[in-house]
Amino acid sequence: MNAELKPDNHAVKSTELSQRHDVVRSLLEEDQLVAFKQRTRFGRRKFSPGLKVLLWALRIYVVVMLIIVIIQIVRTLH
Amino acid sequence: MGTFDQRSDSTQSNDFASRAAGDTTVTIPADGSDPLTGEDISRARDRLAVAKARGNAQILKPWRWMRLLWLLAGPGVLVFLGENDAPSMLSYAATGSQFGIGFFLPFILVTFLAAWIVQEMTVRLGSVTHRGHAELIFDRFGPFWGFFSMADLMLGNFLTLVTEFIGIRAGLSYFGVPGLVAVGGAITLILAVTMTRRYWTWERILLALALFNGLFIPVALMTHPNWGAVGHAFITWGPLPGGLGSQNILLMMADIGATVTPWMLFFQQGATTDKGMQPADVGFGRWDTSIGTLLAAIFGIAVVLATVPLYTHGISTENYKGAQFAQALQPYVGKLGSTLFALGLVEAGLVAAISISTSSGYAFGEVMHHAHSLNRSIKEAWPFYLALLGSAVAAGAIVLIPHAPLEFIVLIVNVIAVLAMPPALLFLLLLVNDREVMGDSVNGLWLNIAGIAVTVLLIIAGLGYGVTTVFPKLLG
Repeated sequence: MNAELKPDNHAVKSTELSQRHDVVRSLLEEDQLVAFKQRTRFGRRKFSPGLKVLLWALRIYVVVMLIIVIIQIVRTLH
Repeated sequence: MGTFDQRSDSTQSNDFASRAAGDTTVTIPADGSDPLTGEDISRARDRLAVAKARGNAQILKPWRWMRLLWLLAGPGVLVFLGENDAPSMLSYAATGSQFGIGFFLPFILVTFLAAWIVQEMTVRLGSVTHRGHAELIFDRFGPFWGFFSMADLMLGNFLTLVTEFIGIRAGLSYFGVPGLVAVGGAITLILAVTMTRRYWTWERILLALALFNGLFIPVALMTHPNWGAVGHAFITWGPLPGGLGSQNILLMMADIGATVTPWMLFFQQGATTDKGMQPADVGFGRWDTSIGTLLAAIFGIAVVLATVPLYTHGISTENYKGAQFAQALQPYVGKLGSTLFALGLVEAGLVAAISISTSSGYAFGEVMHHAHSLNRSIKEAWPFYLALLGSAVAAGAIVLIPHAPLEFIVLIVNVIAVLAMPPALLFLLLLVNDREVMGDSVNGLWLNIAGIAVTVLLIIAGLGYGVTTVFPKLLG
C-alpha cells in the first residue's frame, strides 16, 4: 500500500503527471485517491456502556453550561 | 491503513459518479481501478517533489533532510501561528502589562508544549487515514455525535472569526483605516489567497504571511528587556504578583483551557490530508509541529515582554482593547515600535481568519461528502469554498453592523472554546487509539500517558474555567 516512486520515474516532470497516471498511482497511496475515499468509509465503532456514559455526560455538560453562560453574560451586559 | 467498509447507501455509492460529471479533469480507467481526479494529480505533483527529495537513500543527508522539511512543513507551523491570533496576542499583552516578567513566561511555554502533544495526534491521524477529523468522527461515532461535534466547531469557529475581524479592524484603526476598508480588505485578501486552486501555493502564501507574527520580536527588543529577570523567571517560575489568588488561578485555567481549541484539531488534520502527507512523513510532521510550537511560544512571549514597560510604569491596561496597546507603547518603543505592534495584530487576525475559515470549509465538505480540497476549482468544490468564504464574509459583516453585540461575542468566544474542548479531546483520544483506524500507528504507551495527562489537564482546566466563569464566587 505504501506509495513509492520507481527509480526510472525520477526523471518525470510534474507537468507530465496529467498524462502519466501510472506515476500518479505510484506516488499516492490507494486510500489517498479521491475515488477510493468516496466509495469507502470506516465502519461505526462499538460503544461500551462506560463510553456512552462519558459521551452523554460531556454533552450534557456542554449544553447546560452553554445555556448558563449565555444567560449570565446577557445579564452582565444589561 | 485502517479497515474500511464499502459505502452502503445508494446516495454515497453514487457520489463519485455524480460528482465526476462536474469534474472536468476526471479520468476513468478501463481496468476498473479507481479513477483519478484533478485533485489526485495536483496532490501527486507535491508528492513527486517529496519523492525526488527523499530519493532512494536509506539515511538522509542534511541537505536532503532540510529539503524534505521545507516540502513537508506547513500545517503545524500554520496551526500554531494561527492560534497566536488577535485575541491571544491581546491576552498576552494584557498579561505582560499586568504581571510583568515572571511566572507567565515559562507558563506560556508549557501550555504550548501541552498543545504540541495534542496536535501531534492530528498529524498521525491525517497522515495514516488521509481523512479529515470531522469525517472520522462521523464514520466512527455516527451522525448523532458527529452533528454535536460539528455544531460545537461551527459555532466556535464563527464567533472566533468575528473576534479576528475585530482584531484586524482595531489594528488597522491605528493607521486611521476605516472599518469598512479594513474588513473589506481582509476579506479580499482571504479570497485572493484561497482562490489559488493549489494547496501548495495557498500554504506557502499563508506561511509567508504567518512569519509576520514575528513582528513582535523587534518590539520586544526595543523595550530592552531585563534578560537576567527573564532567565530568573524561567528558572524559578516567579514572581507572580498577587500570588495564587482566585483571579490568577482563573487566568491560568483560561490560558490552559484555550491552549488547544477545536478548530486547531480539524484544521491540522484537514491540512495534513490535503497536503497529501503519508505515514512515512509523520516524523517531518512532528518537526513541523515542533517548529510551529517554538515559533508561537517565542512570539507570544515577545508580546508579553513588549508590554512589560506598561507594567513597570504602573499604567492600568485592564480596559485596553485593540490598538490602545500600540498607542500606549509609543513612549517606550517609539513610533516604529508601536506601528510594528499594530501591524502584528493585523497579521495575527488575518492568518487566523484564513486558517479558521479553512477549517470550517474542510469540516463542512467532509460531513456533506462533497469535494473539500484547496487543490480543487470552485466549480468542483463550491460547497467547500462557500463554507470557507461565506463564514469569513458573514463574520466580517457582523463586525460592521452598528451596535452589533461585539462585546458579548468577545466575552463568550473563549468560554465556548473551552466548553467544547472536553468532548473534542475525548473523540481525538479515542480515534488515535483506534486500531481499526490507525493500524500500528496507534498511540504508544508513553504517547498515551502524555496524551491522556495533557488531555485530562486541558479538560479539568476547561471545566474549571467554565464553572468559575458561570459561578465567579466559587473561588472566593
